[in-house]
Amino acid sequence: MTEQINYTTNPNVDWTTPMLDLHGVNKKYLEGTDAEVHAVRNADFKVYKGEMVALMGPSGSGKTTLLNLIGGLTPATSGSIQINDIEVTDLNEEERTKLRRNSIGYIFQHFNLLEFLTAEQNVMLPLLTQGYSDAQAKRRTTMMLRELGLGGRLEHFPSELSGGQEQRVAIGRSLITNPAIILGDEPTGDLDRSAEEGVLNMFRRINKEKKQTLLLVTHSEWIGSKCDRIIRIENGEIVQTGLEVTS
Amino acid sequence: MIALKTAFRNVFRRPSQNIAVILGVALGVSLFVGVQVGSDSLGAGLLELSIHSIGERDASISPVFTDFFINEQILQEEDPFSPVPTGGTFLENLTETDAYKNNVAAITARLHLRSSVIQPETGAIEVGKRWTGIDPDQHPAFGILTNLEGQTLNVADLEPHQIYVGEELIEDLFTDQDPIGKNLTVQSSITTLGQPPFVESVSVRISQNLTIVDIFQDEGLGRESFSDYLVSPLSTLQELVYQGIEQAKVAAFLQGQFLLGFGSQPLTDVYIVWKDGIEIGEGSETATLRLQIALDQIFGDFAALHRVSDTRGNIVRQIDAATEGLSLLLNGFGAIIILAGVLVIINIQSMALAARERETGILRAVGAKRSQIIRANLLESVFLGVFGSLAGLAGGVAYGRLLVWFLGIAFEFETGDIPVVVTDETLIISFFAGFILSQVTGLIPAINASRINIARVLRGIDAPEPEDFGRKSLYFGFIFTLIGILGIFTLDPNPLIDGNDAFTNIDDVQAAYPFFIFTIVGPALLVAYFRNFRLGLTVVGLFLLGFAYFNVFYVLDKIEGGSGGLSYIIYLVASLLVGTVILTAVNLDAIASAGQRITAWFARSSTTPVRGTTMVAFKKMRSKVTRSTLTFALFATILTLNIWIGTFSYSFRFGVDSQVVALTGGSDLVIYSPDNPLPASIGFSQELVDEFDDTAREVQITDARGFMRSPSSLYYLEADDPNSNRTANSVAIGPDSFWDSTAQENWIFPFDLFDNKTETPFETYEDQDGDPEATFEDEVVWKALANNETMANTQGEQKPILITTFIFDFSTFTIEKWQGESVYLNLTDGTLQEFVIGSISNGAPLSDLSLGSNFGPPGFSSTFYVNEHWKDKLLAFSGISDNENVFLARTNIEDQTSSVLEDFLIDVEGWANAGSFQNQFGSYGIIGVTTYSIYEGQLEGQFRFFQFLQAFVSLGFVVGILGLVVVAFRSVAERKREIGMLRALGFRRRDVVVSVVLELIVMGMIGLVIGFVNGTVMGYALTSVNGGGGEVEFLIPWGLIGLYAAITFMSAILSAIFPAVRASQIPPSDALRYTG
Repeated sequence: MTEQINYTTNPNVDWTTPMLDLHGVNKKYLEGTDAEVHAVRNADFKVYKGEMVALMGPSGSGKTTLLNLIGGLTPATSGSIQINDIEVTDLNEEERTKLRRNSIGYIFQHFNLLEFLTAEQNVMLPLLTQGYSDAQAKRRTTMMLRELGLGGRLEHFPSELSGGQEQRVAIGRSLITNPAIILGDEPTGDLDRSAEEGVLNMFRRINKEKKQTLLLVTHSEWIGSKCDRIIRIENGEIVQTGLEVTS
Repeated sequence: MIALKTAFRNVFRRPSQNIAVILGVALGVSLFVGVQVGSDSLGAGLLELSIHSIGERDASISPVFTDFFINEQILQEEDPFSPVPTGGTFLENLTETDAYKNNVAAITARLHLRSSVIQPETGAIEVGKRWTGIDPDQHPAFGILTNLEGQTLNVADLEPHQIYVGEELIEDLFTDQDPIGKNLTVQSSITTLGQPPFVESVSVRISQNLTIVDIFQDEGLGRESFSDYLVSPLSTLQELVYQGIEQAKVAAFLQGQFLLGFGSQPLTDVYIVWKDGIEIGEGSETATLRLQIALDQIFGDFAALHRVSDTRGNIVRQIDAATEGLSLLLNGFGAIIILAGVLVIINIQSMALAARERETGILRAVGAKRSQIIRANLLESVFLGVFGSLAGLAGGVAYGRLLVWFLGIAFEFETGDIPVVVTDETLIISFFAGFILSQVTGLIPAINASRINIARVLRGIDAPEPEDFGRKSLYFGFIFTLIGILGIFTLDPNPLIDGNDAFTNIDDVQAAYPFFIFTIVGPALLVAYFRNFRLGLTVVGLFLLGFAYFNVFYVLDKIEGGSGGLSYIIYLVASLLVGTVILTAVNLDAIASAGQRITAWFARSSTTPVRGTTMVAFKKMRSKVTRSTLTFALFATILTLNIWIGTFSYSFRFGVDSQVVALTGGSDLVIYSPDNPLPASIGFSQELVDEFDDTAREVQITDARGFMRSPSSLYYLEADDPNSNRTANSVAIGPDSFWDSTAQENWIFPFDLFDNKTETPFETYEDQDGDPEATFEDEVVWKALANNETMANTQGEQKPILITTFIFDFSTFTIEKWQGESVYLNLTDGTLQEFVIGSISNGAPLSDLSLGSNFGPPGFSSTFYVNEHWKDKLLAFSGISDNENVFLARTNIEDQTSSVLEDFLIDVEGWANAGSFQNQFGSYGIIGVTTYSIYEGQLEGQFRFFQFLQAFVSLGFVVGILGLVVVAFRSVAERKREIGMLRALGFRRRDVVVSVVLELIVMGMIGLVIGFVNGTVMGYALTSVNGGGGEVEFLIPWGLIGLYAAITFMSAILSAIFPAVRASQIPPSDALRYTG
């Protein structure tokens, strides 16, 4: 059964500007061999500017692969992926890296903070890679972490933070460069319900206040229900975009 | 049994990790074996090098005076003019003794004449060559002459006017022509004595035109001095000498004088090979003594003029004494390199266990006990230890061979001549040392592995570094403090009670050092436990450094003697190393921040993500304190060792200019006539200056002086003890030889004196501060000698003075006479004259030149400086008065090592040895050497050893590079997921590579800085101790240090680049999935 999203629920969405546009995207592993795996099949969907979208599906359905394709971490076998009008599949390795650096924010299930950097250093790292000076990067990072309620944890190492705090640092890191889109791979997967709720509220706040576009891979129906819409994937196929018109 | 099987299987289950462990252990064992093999082979090689020149000869009989003959005539009291001595010839008498029959297997007699060889067609002259008479019937043990085609040459085939010439001599005399059938003029001077004995020595000259019949390569087993000499049958040469002296005797007789001749069969050497049962050492010493006693009994005064030498035994003894020290040194340095190897092994073992942390976590989670984890890891470690140690034995022998190869290059051996000594003992000890090492280094990581936080490991979170040593600080702090304090109480002498007196003997200082270290480290560890760990460590580091610096800059200066010292030097290095490494590790955070800021400053205008890259590199280094410390400590150790040896040998090589100037009296060149002293009437000095007084020339001789040097003279250490006789060279100096400052104002440097000049009774000069001024003091003593002043002997009687170089007993390595003591010289009237040693000269070109002789190494004989007043009365100078044979020249070239001087000397020799000069003044033959080269020649052995040592310690870089490779692989392996994340965040591949490489470069550079500071301090310490009170200028070899910096830099890049590039190529999506 399909359902129609209420276009009016999120007033921040700019329905005229697709931030992410996938068209006929395929990903095959071990192509041409007996062990060939068709991980993503003809994926077609759009995510509009300011949307907060959940990408859901059972284990092994191709969610993470799709996210990696969007983030340019792995190349697509065929099809078109556009982020902010940039055709990802036309980019070489170097350009994809640049795209990630400037236009994409990543949040991982296991937070993936660098253990040897403090919360502040983890967050400022993407700014430094963009060529910001230490002072500039520090200023922005401090503001960001204060916004995220971590003003007192700047000098703490990841091992000194709770899971929720770690994920907030990871969110800060993904946001710090004002990316076009944030890609979250099970961002609350390692958190308990209360921490999960805290993180979700933060996503919503970011989405609302900064008009930030988010695409979150999740297993959690509860998370999905809190997003603007849910894109569902099964066996590599998009079975629901959340924009279908019910008859 | 099952555990064993599992462990054995596990060895092969993790090939890459375990190969690293095996390689690490093998490296340690290889170093151990290699150092032992190198050290054992060093002794054998040096012995080989030293005995090379004596061939198969075990012992020899020779005259005490090197230019005289084994004097048969002296044996005959009834008729000194009879050609045949009473009771048979010397050899007949010798071979009749029991000492000979019981001990001697073979014997050969030789007659050597020092000769000038002239090529008549070109006028070319080669001086100081040897003309040797060989017994045609000599035993094959003494060698066989072969020509260039390898055919045997027999001297019995030669007519009296024919000769065989050595290949090297032919190359010097003939350039393009075929020399066979050509003539050579050979001039020899022989010395005999007047009658009654010792009244006057007379030089008799023999000149012969000889035809070259064949060219020989080498004498094989009985090598004389390679192949730069001439060969005739012994009887031919004996006849010539005999006839020459007989004619001189007749001429002297007609003038109313009497000369004492030699028998019809004069000899200069008798070579002996002992029977098989006589072992070199005690056996050969006894056999030598027996032969000496037997000859004394037959020939009476024989002992006074001739000596039997235990040639091979003496060499073995000297080499044993020398290599004992060298081996110790090699083992000391080797121990430090092995320590570096141990650091690598610890790192590898930790890496191997860290890599399987997750597996251990799962095992623990499913119920494996800690003891089972330890046992499994240790059992595996047993197999790895065995494999590694076995591989290490093979690698060690190869490494040993490499060292021997270096030894060959450094000492210019034919490598085949150096035996590679691999003893069973070395192999067995090395195997077990490697095995135990692998178990010990495996045990601690295995215990740590068993203590992991299971939940943390399974979540994939890195373990935080331990913050302190826990109760270990308390236990060790208490034990160290106790040992230190108790130890200090037992010291005698005790620095706390006796002050500086406790520092005079290096053995005492060495014994005290560890107790003071314990007393320093113990309380600091207690501070670490009770107060603050970081503070405690800082105190340990500072105290260790402070104590080492106190020793280097204060205690070393007070040390006057002692037999040991190697352990002391190792303590010093260890203190410096541990101190600097601890301080660096404690402050790694600050260093990393500073490094990051510096690189950020350099990259301030960069638009690339370099700041992010550097932050990751520096912070990563700081977060892994133990691993980073092990890595830079490894480089610090290797570089300390290399820079230490480098600065020391460089200073000794190039920081000796002022010393050479003092030793050489300011002269740059020594030009001498080895065979025939030039009559003073020639005015050679002036001729030389005139000929080369060309202002257009780069080298301009500003002054030249002639001196007379006697070939050798007999003197007595004690007048009433005939057994205290020795030989020395004597140099006669005139009042204006050195100090005619009005005529030659630049010529102010007298030769350097060793002795404490403040004790001389002569007038002393003082500088503005009232301190004795060395240059003037030297001048005072030399002037006192030149002016024939007297000095009180030990009984208070005024006696004439002489200056001497060290009177050294090489059998005991002791100096026999000091300033103020007396020696006794023979006068021409047959009496002994007492001289008081006014001062001891450090050596000078006049004494260090073994003039014209292949008969002995330079510098082995003492030289006396006497004035002209005594010259005329001394037996040593009789018969050669008014001649000069040594000329010192001063030039306008400042750099004594300049090759311009060498080139110039070729011109001087060309001029003086050319036909025109010889036609004008006669055939004298001139040799020119730079004074620096004389000094260099004296220190050649040391230079070569330094060279070898440098090659030896630079092999430590192999260990260092291996260490870096390990760290690079380990770092990359454990960072796979992190690298994926960085790539996801926008790090380019090359940013990942740069961050990994940069981390290693920084660690290498920290090691370099520590190594530079410590190595330079140690180099300074060793230079000031061995440089004889600062005469060697301490120099820092910046070029070499630049090279080491480049090697370190390149090592870091090369070690890291491969794993880093490989890791950067992993797709980020795969890397993110990696769980370790």
